[in-house]
Amino acid sequence: MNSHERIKRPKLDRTQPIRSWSTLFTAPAGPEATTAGGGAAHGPAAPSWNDVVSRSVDLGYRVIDEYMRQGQKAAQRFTDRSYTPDSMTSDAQEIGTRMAQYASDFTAVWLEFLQLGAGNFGRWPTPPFEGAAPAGSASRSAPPPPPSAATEPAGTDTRVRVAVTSPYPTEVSLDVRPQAVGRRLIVQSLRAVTEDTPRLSDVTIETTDADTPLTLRIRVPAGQPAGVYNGLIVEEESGKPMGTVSLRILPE
Amino acid sequence: MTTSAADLVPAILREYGDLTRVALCDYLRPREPQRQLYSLVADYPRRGGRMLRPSLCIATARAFGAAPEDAVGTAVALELFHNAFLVHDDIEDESDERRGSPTLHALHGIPVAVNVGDALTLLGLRALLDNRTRLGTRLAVQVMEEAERMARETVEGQAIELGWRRDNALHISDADYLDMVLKKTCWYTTIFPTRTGVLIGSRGNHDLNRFLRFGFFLGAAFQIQDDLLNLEGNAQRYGKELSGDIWEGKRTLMLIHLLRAITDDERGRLAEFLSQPRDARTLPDVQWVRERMNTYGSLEHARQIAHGLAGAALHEYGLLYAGLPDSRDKQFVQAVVTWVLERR
Repeated sequence: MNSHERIKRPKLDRTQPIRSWSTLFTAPAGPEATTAGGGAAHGPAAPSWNDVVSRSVDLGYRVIDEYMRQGQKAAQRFTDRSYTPDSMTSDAQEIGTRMAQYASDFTAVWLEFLQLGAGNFGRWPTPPFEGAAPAGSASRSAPPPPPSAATEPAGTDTRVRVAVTSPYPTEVSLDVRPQAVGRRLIVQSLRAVTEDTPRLSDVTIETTDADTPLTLRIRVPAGQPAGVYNGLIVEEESGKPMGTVSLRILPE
Repeated sequence: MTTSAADLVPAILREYGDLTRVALCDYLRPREPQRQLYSLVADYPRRGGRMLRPSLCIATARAFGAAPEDAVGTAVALELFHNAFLVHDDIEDESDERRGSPTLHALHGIPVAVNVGDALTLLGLRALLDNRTRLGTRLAVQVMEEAERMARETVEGQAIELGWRRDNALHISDADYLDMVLKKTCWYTTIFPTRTGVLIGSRGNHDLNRFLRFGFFLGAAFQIQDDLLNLEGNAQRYGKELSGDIWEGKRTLMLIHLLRAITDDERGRLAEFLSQPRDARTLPDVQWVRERMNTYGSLEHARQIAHGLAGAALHEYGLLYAGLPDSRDKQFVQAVVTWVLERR
């Protein structure tokens, strides 16, 4: 009898919860979507979403880790040029030294560039220990500067003389804004990243007039730990930042 | 008022894209020889583009504490390099369309286009040199070193892919493909923008190697999605001819999957198709390849891999950015991972 016919639950579209996180992104689309997970029309059954996703992540990590391992090996070849204990340096030191070399190469190239452009820019000595270093806005030939630099006076050169007294090899990096020319400046004590490293407080900057180079003097006391020390150059009157000094003390 | 994650990516792409375009204008100003060179140099950059790379660079720099102006020079350089690569890639790939218009070499011939690509590269170098004013010599040199590596990796990746096509390589694994994409696409699309952003934002105080994985996963997901859009996207929005990669015989993840999945007979036909020069390939053959990809689920396979890689990118993002204060830029970098898969 119809009145006693058992009520049946309609057949469900799916019998398991959807756990695929990949649907967080766009849902599969395109004509082939109907075959996903259920096997292609021809050939062997296709692996499920989660299989492919997890395999692709695994594969991705293997590719990038192998790439990084090869990069480390290549870097190792750079540092393996000398095998005596005295000449062995850590990777960080080696990179630092190479960076300084590149910076100095770059300065030389830059100088040549300016000489070609300006024709008379021949007073560009080398930094680390004693000399006049280029800083701030070196004059630039075409093309014109991007808008961010538009407020800076074009064509001015800030000349800086750097004098470092140190029992250890050092490298100095200096950025001075063009506006610093002719202003009274002070330089703050140079600090290392770690709080417990003593600061370098014997740092002065002497300014006279716009025609005379600024003179930055840094004295490094004996026993000062190797590392990078940074300080700010500020205008004495307003306290506005006018540049930065960075000194790297290399291990003996 | 806060911006939702879905709106954040387009909003920041617009904002930082505009910032970059304004700065880019300084490098694209009319000058002589205007007709033969500089008007053509400005062609691709003025065709638009999503500005993902510059935006990623600026946003990363900001997330790490820099002002946008600190990173805009690098963003401009990146955009100039990107356009230089596009000009040369279009020649190498024999492409007909770029951003909805004929490619530069199709309009002006290969010799002129090669020269324009060279000029764009030199302008990018100029932008990196100009970084010195804003960033100081040391940081500017570090950015240049990154750019040199990025360019080297990119040409190596391009060489691998061109070699596959020249030699009609048929046995390429997914790992081979990812290795090629790491070099050809990831370095200049995501790794370089991220690493230089971190470099500028932290003033060189971060280990950049930690950002390789994130850039790789994001860039690879981006490239696979780009290749999928080439087959099934909106032609007008995509800006290139649909199925152009099949016409070019480009070894995409879908083609690599198809080469594995098809029968021996079909593989013979596909190998013959791929061995032909582009202009000898016919529309029915291209349609047959596209249809076989549907049949064997090649697009779905690639889509799954892209999603897996995007998930890995999100995981790496969590490891790298967790310590940073929350910001719109930090949210953008996270949202970009999903966006690369959602774009149509």
